[in-house]
Amino acid sequence: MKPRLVLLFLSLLALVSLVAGVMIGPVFVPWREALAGLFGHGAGGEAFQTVIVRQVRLPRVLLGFLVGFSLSLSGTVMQGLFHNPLASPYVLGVASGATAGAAGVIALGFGGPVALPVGAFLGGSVVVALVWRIARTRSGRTSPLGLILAGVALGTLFTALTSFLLFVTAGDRRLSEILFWTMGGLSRASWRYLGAMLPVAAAGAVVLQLVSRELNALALGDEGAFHLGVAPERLRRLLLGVGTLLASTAVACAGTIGFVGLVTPHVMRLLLGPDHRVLVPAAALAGGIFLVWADALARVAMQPAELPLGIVTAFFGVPFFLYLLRTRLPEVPG
Amino acid sequence: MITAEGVSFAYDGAPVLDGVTLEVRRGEIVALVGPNGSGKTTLLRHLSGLLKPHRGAVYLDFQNLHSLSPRELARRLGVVEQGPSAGFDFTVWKLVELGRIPHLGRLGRFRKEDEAAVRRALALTGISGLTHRPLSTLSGGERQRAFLAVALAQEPQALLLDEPTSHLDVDHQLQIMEIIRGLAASGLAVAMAIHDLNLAAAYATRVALLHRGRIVAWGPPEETLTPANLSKAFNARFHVRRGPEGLFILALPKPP
Repeated sequence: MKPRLVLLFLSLLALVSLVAGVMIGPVFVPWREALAGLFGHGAGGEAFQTVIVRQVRLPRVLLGFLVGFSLSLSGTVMQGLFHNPLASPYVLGVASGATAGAAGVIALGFGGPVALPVGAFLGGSVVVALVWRIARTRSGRTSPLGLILAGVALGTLFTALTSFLLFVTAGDRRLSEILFWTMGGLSRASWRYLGAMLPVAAAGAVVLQLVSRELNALALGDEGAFHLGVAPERLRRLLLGVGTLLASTAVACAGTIGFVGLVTPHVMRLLLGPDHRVLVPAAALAGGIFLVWADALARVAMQPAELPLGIVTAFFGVPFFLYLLRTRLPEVPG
Repeated sequence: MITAEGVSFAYDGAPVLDGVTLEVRRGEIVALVGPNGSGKTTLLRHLSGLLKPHRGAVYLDFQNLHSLSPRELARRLGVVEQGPSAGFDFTVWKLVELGRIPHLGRLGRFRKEDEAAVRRALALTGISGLTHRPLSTLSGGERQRAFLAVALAQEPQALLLDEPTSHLDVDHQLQIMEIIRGLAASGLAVAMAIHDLNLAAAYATRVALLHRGRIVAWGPPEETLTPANLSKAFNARFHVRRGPEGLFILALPKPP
């Protein structure tokens, strides 16, 4: 497949998905209204629909797209960083740290689109910093195995911390707030959350695209990368920072939504190969598209109730991933 | 030209290199030979700038290696590690493209001249027919050539190779060595760590025989690979015959 064609196709699909996402829901919105809403025109028609599009559907669909986009980018980076297929914001404990950070913010009685991302980023960064410290060998290098083991251990610790916060806030309004949020979902989406997510997603995508060649070099190992003129430790630090920021902001906006960050990059790598110049934008777009459809389904599958998004992503993504794995598993480079 | 001057290095206080001095001129092949743990790989890592000597210095065309940025270094020095591998299953073409990274900026596009360099590297290593093959489908010899092609795509002036013939059959060993000889003849300075004394004798212009981090013999193969020198470095007896086709070295166990 020609990379350019694939990216063009994914961009068009993203646009179609955004429009479809605005249309689908308990109240059906015709495509003209949806398209008009997407491009900021307050289209005519019934005021009711305009309000739904403007205040509810549109921010939610856009936020869903950007959350999927960011989680997938973060996963792509972390897998490329450690050229380890196990790596993802969850495996490295970043998401658990971010969840605990945000839950802590809620437990302290704060919340909203400023405090939550800050808390999440603090939590995520603490985990990354600890994991990084622990995984450094005496010679000053970073052991990929150590990173993953430390990430899993600290992830467990911080998940326990979130559970502890749930326990402490029992019988309180804050409990349901934290609980809602650990399940993950986009029902609280608003323009203000979008204001936090959009700059992070955009800046992250630009930075990662710029270093995508160096990310390819990192596949030859630290020494191989050095011989290609890439300083591996500095690059790793930058990539970890960007990956953490992307994942924790996504977690702050939509709670914990598993699976997207681990699997979308894999699927795209199986389909397009491991070149990060193509993989970075493709995985980002695919993550966004996937989450828009998953959320649309979550809204309509069990009406009038709304399914938690994490359930939908797992139910649909996992079988597809396993199918691809079975049919297109690449040979292990030895 | 690469020059090492009095290079000493220790891992956690245990000396690995002790005052190593040698040079690798353009057009020549220097073989680093010696038993396991004698410091061959560590010496190569110093020549490539990966490690910084505790004492002494390494120069690339009279410039201290550590005064050059990694990118500058990568434009002038190609390195093939022992048993090279990639974390993802790139195609041969994509892999060899990586060799152009030091010549491309972050915003730089892959130009005609980059493509030409990749094609040349593939042709020099005789794998032009494998461009679309994933690495995982290559044989050991093809894989070794593919990674050699990465280093050549960098268009370096010097080439460092760690055991370029390990795990290869005799045919492929000779093919790789012939490629390397051709590269040296075209003006590259080549240094390689190699276990096979006969290959070293046949292809090297100069040999550095290492033992416990020191060079115990340095010079043309006929002068360095003598039974007396070799039995200083290795715990074995040696027969060395000089024939019309060069040296022939046979190692035998020491009598009990």
